[in-house]
Amino acid sequence: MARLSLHGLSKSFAAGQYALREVSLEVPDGELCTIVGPSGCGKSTLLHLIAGLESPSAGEIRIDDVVVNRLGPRERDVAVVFQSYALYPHLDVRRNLGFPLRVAGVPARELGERVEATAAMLGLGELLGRRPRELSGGQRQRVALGRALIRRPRLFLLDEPLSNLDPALRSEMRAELKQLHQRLRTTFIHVTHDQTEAMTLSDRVVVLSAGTVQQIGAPRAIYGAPENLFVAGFFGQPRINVATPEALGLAGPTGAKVAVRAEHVAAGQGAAPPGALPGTLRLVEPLGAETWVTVELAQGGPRMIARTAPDFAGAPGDPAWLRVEATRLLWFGPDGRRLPSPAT
Amino acid sequence: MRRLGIAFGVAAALTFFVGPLAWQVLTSLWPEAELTRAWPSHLSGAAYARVLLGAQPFWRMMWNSLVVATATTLLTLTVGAAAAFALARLALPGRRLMLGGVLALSMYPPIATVSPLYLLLRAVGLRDQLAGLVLPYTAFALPLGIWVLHGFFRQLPDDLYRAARVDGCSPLQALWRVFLPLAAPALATTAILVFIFSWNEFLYAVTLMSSQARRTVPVGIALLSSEHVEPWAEIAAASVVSTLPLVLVTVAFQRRIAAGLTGGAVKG
Repeated sequence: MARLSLHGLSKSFAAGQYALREVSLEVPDGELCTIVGPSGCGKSTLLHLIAGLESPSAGEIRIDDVVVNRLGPRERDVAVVFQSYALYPHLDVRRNLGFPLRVAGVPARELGERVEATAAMLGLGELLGRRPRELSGGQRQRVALGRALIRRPRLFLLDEPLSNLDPALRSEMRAELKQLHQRLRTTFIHVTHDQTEAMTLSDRVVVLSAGTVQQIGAPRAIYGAPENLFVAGFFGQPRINVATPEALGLAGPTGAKVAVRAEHVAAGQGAAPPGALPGTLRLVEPLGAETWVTVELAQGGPRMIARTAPDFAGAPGDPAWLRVEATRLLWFGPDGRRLPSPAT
Repeated sequence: MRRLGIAFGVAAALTFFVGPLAWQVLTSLWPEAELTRAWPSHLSGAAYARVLLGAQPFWRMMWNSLVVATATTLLTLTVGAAAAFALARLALPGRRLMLGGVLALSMYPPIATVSPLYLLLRAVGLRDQLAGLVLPYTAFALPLGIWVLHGFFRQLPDDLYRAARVDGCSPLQALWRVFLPLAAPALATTAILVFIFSWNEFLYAVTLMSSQARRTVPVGIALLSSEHVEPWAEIAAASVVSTLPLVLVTVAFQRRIAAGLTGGAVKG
């Protein structure tokens, strides 16, 4: 149980090259906070800094208002689940789970009890005698989770915990992780490059790109009101549509861009409703529950994706129309920052 | 035809490696009087009796060799593992330079160091002391040990060290509890090589030790010959007996050189 605050945290490995730049963040006690960004954005470095595996070049890390910059990982009382799981290959599951307690000098009897309890909670009871190499990916993942849980740490750090699992297992473990957090109510810091994971799992999302924080907010706020074009483009599937205002027949400041989510774009064939733009059908992607339709506006104009009903019929090359919900347009300045929507 | 070729190749390799050993065993059992004959009338263990029970303090030399080789191996593994771990895992400035320096050291011709080493050991009172052999042997075995172990430690995943640190280990505890158990195959390899090197070493042993009580086996065997006699059977018998500990050590450690010990540390 702990509150984490980062203040102006920077890390540079070589002079002038920043892996992280001026990252500030407050994570209240019990929150599940996800740090998300493309690979190389500095999210793993951030996690290592919080865990005490690396030391910051500048800035402050506080856990419960105590500056921990100078403390080693042991003193910070923080547990990490690594992407590669990093189980100890020479130890069986029982010893892997008990390892942190053994190092801490917990008496044998208590250690045994806690190992049993943790194993039971994660459904590892049958596997206690196995070595990591005899376990499946999902089982290794659970052992890694158990090794972190058993210490009852103040802070839980998860480094891409689900990315090595196959897709079916991934959504299962994702749900399990969320329930685990709801039960424990410990502070979780979760790092991922997967926007779906970030959206579904978190109380709050921190978007990181090129070592700087782009936006911090609840998943819905990040999705609905992105503060810049990067965030807008990073979240959402299909990718948000971006075009110049002129292409959509709108007037706006020079260099501005407009963006709109596919669910706020309608597409169809035949008689165009008022306000629709003409175009050509380029791609039809049926997904089962819905169909994504890509329409090219004018000849060589921007391509826009619309979410349509699953029964959308049409072939590439057909004429089609496209209508954008004007109130849902997001405006961005030439620097990529969000602009207030002009009155329409 | 191909199988015949393979069989021939195997036979040739066996002859190359086992041949000298077999010859030596045969020589040791050959009656002295029949040395010039093409085939002996009988085989005799007399040379073994003379070597093992004779006036020459053979057992004393075996003991000296064992002490020196064992101490060198232990010292090399201890210092080498710690150094290799530090070079592989800790953020030391100038790591590459140090590794290069270690390698450069191993290229130094031992003969060039004999006289300075002799003076040095005499100055610190270790001349004609077994410890005076252990120290230079360790110095010359360390580059090998450090490189083998460094290579092994480097190849273990970074996250394994991070996990150990987060789980509460100090760097030294991480070495002891995680890295050393995993490095068993590399440690065994290093141990075998270092043990064989120090067991067979001749140059320092003959120059730095002077009294008979400090002789090691290679020196003792060399001194079996006198001005007028070459006791071939005895030399061969002593060589055979002194090879046995090497065989035992190799067999003992070889079991530990099992591949795939790290399987499952990381995904895959």
